[in-house]
Amino acid sequence: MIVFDKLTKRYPLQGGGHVTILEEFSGIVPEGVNIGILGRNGAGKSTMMRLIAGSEQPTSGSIYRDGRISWPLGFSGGLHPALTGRQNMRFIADLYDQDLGDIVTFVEDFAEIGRFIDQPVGSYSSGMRARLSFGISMALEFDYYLIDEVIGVGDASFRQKCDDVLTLRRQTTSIFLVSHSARLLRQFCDIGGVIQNGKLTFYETLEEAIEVHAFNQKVVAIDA
Amino acid sequence: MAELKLQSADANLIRDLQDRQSFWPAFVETLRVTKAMVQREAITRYGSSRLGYLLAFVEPTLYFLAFILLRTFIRDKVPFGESAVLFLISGFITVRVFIMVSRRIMFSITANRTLMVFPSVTPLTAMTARAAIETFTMSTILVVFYFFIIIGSESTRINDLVEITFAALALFVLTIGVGFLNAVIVSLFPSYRMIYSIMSLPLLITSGVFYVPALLPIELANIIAWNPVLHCVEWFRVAIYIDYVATLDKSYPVQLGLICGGIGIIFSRAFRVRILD
Repeated sequence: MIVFDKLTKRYPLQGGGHVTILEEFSGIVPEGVNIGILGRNGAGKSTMMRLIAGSEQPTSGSIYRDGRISWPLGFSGGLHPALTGRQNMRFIADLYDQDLGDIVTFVEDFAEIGRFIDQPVGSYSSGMRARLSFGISMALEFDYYLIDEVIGVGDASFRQKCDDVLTLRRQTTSIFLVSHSARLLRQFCDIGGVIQNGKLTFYETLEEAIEVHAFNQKVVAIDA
Repeated sequence: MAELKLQSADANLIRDLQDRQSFWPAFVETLRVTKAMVQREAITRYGSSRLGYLLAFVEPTLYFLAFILLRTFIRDKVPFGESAVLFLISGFITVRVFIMVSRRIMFSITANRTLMVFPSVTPLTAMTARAAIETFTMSTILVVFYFFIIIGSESTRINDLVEITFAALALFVLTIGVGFLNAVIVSLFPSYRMIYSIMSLPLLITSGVFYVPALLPIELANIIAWNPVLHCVEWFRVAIYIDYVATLDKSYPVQLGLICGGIGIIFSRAFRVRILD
């Protein structure tokens, strides 16, 4: 369960004034529900993820977290270039107090980096790094997987793998996804919300959320 | 459009959730994260092999040999005491510890930026982990070097072992404090590293490594007394020699270290988002 209690987040702007990402948002996200939030660039999607993960503090209000919550998952972060793949895994396993052996077994199969597992991550190609990073995050056991954008890098077979593992995870745990892609929302989420001008609104059906988001995008296009 | 209202938390639930946020689990997690960070620092500091740890001794040993070599060619009068090597080392190794460690802590945040996507890895854990590794390494080096200086010469002994421990503690408080502040500044203003590098030579000259500060003209002594590292050097010498005349304010390096460290910690939290960008 993640509980938002009158959560407000503002950023000061250079030269005075501020931008509001969220204003007095309250609500409960129960376990087992997969949520997708759409928003155009700069609406505050990534900030929302960091707030839930706890790497950013709200301006006012609180978030209460019950259960293990992942870091905001992407395809590059979380790996130290000077450490080998295995050393990175050990670090993350220690960080989240989970068993290294299970992680290595899963990642060896998922990431397909072979003997590179004992080479420094700095020597990896960007594709290998993405596979390792995403593989580790899927190997760890979380109750909530926070996913920021970016699914669908790499070649088709890797994309398929990601889709498969997420489809599996969404049945047993919760996926919390922010994106501007309607496809991901349809594929993995049960509830859709749109973040816009400091307000996060959820809709009865996914399609409604997607429609509102599409409309917002058009408005931006006209504004520009 | 039909809006969906997420169920809101009532006062009872909020109170219940607040009660569950206790200090102890958070503390245990911080310890676990710091331990993981120390291990991760150790890998890049020493490499994966145990031999890597010995490499940390190479640089100070080279300076040590250079001093001995210097003495065999230049038989000048010893600034103080009977052993020139002891006098120079007491100053030089102190300044080197300060410069090297405050510099290494300076890059603790930038070197670990990629790991800060993990909410539990904060700039503070990165700084703390590196400070721990460096303190451990440098303490060992200090102990080993003073040990060899003492057993290497019959006439040399350290007057006050308790006092020299306090001198080392003060040195580390100052060094870590300045290092914390450095780390935050350099992650916000990368060009600061140049300024800090340039400062290391004047720092060495004004730290009293090659002379007894109390024997300088008073005007000059008053100026270099602003250098906190000088007080650490003097503190070591007070502990080593029985009758050393020191320019020493013991509270100055400790207070300055605590203030710098405090500012560093506060800024690292206040600017966390900007530091990570």
